[in-house]
Amino acid sequence: MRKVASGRARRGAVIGFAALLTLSACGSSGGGSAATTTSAPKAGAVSGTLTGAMASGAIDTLDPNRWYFAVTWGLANAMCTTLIRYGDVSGTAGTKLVPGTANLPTISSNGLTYTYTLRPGARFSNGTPITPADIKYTWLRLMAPAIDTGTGYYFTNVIGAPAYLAGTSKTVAGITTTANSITFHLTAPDGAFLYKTALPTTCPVPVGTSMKPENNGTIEQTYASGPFKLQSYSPGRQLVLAFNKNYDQALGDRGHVAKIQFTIGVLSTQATLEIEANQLDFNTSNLATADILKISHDSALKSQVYTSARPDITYLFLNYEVPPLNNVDVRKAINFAINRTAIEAQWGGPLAGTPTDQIVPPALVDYKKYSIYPNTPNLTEAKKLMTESGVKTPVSLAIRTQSDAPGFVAMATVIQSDLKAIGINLSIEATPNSVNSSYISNYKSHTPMGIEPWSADFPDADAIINTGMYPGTPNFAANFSHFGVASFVPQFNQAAAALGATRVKDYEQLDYNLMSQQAPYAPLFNPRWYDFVSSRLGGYVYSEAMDAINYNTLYIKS
Amino acid sequence: MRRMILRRLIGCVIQLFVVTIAAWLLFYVIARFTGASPAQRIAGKTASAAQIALVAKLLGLNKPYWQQYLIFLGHLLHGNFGYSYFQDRPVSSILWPATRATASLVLGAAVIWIAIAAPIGGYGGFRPRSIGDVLGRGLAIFGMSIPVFWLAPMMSYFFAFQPTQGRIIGLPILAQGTTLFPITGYVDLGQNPIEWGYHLILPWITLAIGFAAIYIRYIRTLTAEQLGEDYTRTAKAKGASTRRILLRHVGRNIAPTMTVLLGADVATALSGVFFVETVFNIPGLGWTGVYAIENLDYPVITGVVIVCAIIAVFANTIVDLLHGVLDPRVRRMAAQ
Repeated sequence: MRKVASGRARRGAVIGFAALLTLSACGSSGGGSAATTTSAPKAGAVSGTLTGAMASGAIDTLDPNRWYFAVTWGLANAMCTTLIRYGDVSGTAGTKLVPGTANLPTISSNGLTYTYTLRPGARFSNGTPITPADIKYTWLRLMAPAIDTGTGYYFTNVIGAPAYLAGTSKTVAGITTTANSITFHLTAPDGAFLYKTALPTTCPVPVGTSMKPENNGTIEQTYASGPFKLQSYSPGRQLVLAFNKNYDQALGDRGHVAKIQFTIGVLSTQATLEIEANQLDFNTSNLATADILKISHDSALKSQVYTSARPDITYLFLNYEVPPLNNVDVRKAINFAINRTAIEAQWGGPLAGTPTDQIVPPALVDYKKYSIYPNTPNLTEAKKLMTESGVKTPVSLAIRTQSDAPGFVAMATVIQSDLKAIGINLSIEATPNSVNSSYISNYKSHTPMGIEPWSADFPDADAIINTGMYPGTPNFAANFSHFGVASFVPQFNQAAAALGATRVKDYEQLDYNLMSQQAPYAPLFNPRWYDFVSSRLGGYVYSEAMDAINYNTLYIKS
Repeated sequence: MRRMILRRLIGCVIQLFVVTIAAWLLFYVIARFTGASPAQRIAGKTASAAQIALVAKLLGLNKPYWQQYLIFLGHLLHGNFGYSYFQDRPVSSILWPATRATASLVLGAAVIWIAIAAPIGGYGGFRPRSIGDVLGRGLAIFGMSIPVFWLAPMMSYFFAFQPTQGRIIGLPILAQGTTLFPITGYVDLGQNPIEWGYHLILPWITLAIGFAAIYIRYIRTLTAEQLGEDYTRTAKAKGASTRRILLRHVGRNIAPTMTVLLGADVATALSGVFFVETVFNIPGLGWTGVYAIENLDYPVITGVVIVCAIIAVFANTIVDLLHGVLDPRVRRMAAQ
């Protein structure tokens, strides 16, 4: 569950139907030329400097085993080649895994052993070959308590990992190496394990790298493994990526510019002006709704706008430990009473996202459309459920949200008004995201409900459903609802272990069962992604897996 | 005078000590009760309680409050603001460039606002109800009515962006692709003085407009008051020229008041230029403070507060001392 940087948020605005039609016509991969156009550079051709902008606070850390924000995962995709990685294409096709430093693994018939054989061209930017020992060390580093920022949790089913993660063991017995391969031995089958070995935090580091955080990018200046390396980083000011001459194009034809220079701290609206003036090539923050409208009405600029579905959901969590939210009828009543269309309008309206009553976003393969709760309130049903719940109204509760990103307090206000109609009086507690996120992650805070944006760590329902509400761990930091209904544990385990079509079907069913029987969330909407790029920028690809621009395909049009 | 300086400096130290306690309490103690947890923020949302405790230990946040404060104070007395949680470098290396950037912005803007306000306000006071005075007052009301958060993006749009499209203030009189000013950006004075000035012209004007409006009114009122005094009438009767009356007599008498106002306003502006810094992407103190708040980077937040306080306290001290130099009555009062 990655941070959706505040720079990506946008203000609510009146959205014109014409603009909606115009942008919808751009399709999921956008209005400009795609990476596959005939003007793409020859394989291995590298020239010019691209300039980008990012919001202040977009970079959490440049430690390759710690980064977690969407913008840093975009950078990771440029500086790292993980064991296996995602294809460099837009849309759902870009969530398909391809070989990285290793070939696609061989998996034992019982699904408990994954063996990755390293490819010959895999090396760090200083020219040193990447060895299986380096890969094992990378895993030990990313799971080390002093380094782990949350993704170590995904490997708890590797033999010996729980003790290592807890700091009581010095190694992980379930990771073994040979001269050219690395094997992971699991305690239980895991249908998402392939995705987990492509996480940006598995970015290779050499044996002996400090077990202390190196947040300012010193590792990626020497030991980058992707088509780019970090040339320089001035926190809060500037970051420069330079083409990695030691990157073997046999690992994939990636990287077509000599440098990418990012200016940090640029407001999204100012960046849009700079792109239009051809003083900037792209922006890592999402476009403000007003800018989307303006650009979409300008036929000369329309070809520079790209829009994509995101693997994201914004939802209202309902805490099982706080009465009367421990009553299923109350949770369902809330789902019937809220006006999802009005809530989404605070975010930016139809251009900015789509209301939903499902947990899994449409951008993931495990998504299947169903409809249990309406987009506009059904107060008759909601009031009936409140009566059946036996809860004496009015009741008073708090709703928490972030105050420093546009739209969130306004959304809370709509929910406050909606729930008053069924006898639930809400007080809004808005704090900056830095405070809000640490508050709601603490299970002792007993937060009744809150609005949260969620970006999947990998393109599989596991990253949303299992991470956010596994009933076996109701006090896990990301289980904001404290969902702990034991009868659901087998369903979660079954879906997590399944593969292929069975997995898709299991998660579709689990999503439906959760919302129809338990309603631990009130899903609100799935946001969309917008990019506006300079007229000279070619090869635009939005990586759905990273929820960021793919820098490896960008080039300067001749 | 010596006693006055000594008294003022002692007051200055006490004020700063109180500010450090207040800043530390606010961010290290009171903030914790709002649920803010830097350790949780750094450890990540899916971190276990043990991982959060480990990060807290690494940051020294597990120690009793009194110990944390003594460590903080000890560092501060050695000019050490601590170590940034997020940037992994000394806070002083973050604050020093930020202070330079903000000072560049505010001092440059102060020169502009005085340069605008002095002639307009002075003329208004000298020729009240004249066309020039009415225009000057209208300009002042207009300037005071424009909020900086609106003016900053408008200045950037009309004078930096539009020229690139062949227009200025909507008029198509420029060649397509003209660059008059950069839309955003900042260059340090030490790096390139010409680029420094070029990048700051729009931010200076943006910040100066509101203050210039206020100063036009101050100067107009003070000038009109002084012109009604007996000593100016005497000077006039003795045949002194208008220029001499305004510069040598009126100017000298309004200087102490203006100095006090200027000192206070420069100090206020130093800590309140966030909007201008954000729109033009100038990495000043306000910008740095907000970036630190986003990450619960307490050492940097506290450092920003303390630097702002130091600037405010010293600016006021210097102004008070200058006031004493310019106005003998103040010196006499201090001596008594």
